[in-house]
Amino acid sequence: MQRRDFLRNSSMAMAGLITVPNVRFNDDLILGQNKKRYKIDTKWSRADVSRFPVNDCHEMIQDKQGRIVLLTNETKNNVLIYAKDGKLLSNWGTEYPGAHGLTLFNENGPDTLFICDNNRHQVIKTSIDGKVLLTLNYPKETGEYSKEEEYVPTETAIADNGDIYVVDGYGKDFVIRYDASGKYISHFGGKGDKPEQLQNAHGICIDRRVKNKPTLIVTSRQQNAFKRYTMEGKYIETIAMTGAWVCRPVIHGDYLYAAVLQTNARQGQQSGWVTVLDKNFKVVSNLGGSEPEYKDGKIQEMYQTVKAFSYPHDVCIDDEENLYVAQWNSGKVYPYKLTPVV
Amino acid sequence: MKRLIFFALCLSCYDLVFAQTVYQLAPPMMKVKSVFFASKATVSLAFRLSGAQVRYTLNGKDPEATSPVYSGPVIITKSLTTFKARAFKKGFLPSETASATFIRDGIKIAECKFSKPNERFQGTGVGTLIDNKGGIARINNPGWLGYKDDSVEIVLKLKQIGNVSSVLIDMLQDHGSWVFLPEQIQVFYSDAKTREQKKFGEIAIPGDRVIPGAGCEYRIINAEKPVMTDSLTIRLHVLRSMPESHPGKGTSSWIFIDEIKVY
Repeated sequence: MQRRDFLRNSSMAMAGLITVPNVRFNDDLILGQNKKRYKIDTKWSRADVSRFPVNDCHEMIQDKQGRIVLLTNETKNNVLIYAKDGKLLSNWGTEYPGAHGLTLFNENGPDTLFICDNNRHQVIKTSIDGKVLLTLNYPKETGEYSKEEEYVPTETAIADNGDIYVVDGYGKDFVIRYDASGKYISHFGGKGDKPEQLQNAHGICIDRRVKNKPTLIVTSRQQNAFKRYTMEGKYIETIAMTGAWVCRPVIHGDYLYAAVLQTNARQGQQSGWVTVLDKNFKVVSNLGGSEPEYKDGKIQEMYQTVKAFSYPHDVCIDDEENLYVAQWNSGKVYPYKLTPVV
Repeated sequence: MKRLIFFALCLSCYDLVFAQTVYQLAPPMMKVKSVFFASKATVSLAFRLSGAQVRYTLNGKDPEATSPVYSGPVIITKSLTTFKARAFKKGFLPSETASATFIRDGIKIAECKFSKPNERFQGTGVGTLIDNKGGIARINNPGWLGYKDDSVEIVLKLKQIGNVSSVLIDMLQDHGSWVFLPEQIQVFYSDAKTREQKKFGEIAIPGDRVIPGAGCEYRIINAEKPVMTDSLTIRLHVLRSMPESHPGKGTSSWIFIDEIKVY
């Protein structure tokens, strides 16, 4: 009499164990397609979980010393700093209960970090070792906000001139632009259905791949899309990521990488993967996801194929082209490392 | 069960000793326009993973490694057929099963009137419950009538007087979104001869536990014996007290409906 949703499952995973005799152990799981294939290592982190726990692993960056910096909303150690081989080098931070966005900026000198805190409704600029340098409160200068609770910043991107772009991805979906000192300049986007508007503006980055013509790429996660704007906030185009709840775009070399939190058709079911796009915004590989397919120039709906990840939330690519994946709500696991397969 | 535990233990030993992990495939993507159909429905699958196969069944059983391999769209003509699909690949655990039950049109309904739904969930208009569209388990999918009321009344006028033996109602179950099945469904009919309102049938639905995920659920209300009528009244009574383990415990739920069939 009962009928489960056809897009969801109803049988137990363990049933497969009993009925399929030839299960082999795929210790060398290779993920992805085309020139972007990777081997996964789920035990990269060598941190002692009893001393340095994580909660949601939200974002990661590599600093100029080559270290991998992880931001988590675990207030025992909001920031964990690793060597590339997974050895924990140091940690700091106890005051970021809503730690979410982590962006690196180098001001021709020491590295600085920009942390978006969902709970504090603030963006905090720190030194690489945690000294607070600047705090941005809710942007009442925009005239769009009447109280700080309406503002839930998720990500920042820093232009070469130091301008700070903040996306209010869990608030009103505006992109707010400040100068390097934190003085409000302008805002654009905002929640809505129009092409230039956003729904869950979860991430932002600056695309410097075309020389001397930087542009902004903003995530519209609920719309399964990236949206491109000029540095002044003029809408350029939408990159459809059909089926994919994309997190922030991360550009490394010629490619754009992004964690996909989940499959649109299988929401709330740990159905994420990692996607890679080329310079022309064409999906070339889905790590743990469906082999990309284009019909009449349009990407066909994408989905998870292998349960390698639960809810990936960010990717970081190091100087050796290795990839690190931080996950949200995934049993407090440390990041995974993926190495390219040549 | 013992065998299952033994196998699970073996797995975890392997994991400890060799630090190896066996990965499970995700279920295949099922593509269906609607699970309701007049003469036939088409279901197609997608699973773009090199070396993987998708196998399916139409008999309600979970597909196994010997079930037919999916190679193209499958046509469904028989009502209440359950299509199940599952992905397989050497070296991986087979996926969980994706499933859909297809429901054929019944006696022609000329008109369907219903209580005023919540303004956020108004379906697609007056014909929304008899349009052969839907069966998609997402609250935002157009087609769902959503109610936050004590009871919902639906009045059906059939094209002509005839024998009616059962009524099918398709509803959403999405406990995470506070959508439960109603705790009771009553059906009445107008006797074709006397024009008296008479009881057709009723069912009670327990709402005492929280079920994860979201799914379409249909319920069939049967008459004791077929009745002659051209008018039916359906009353759905909301679950008045959500279970203890739900964040909304003790308060009433939502009801979501998207299709009605009469046979």
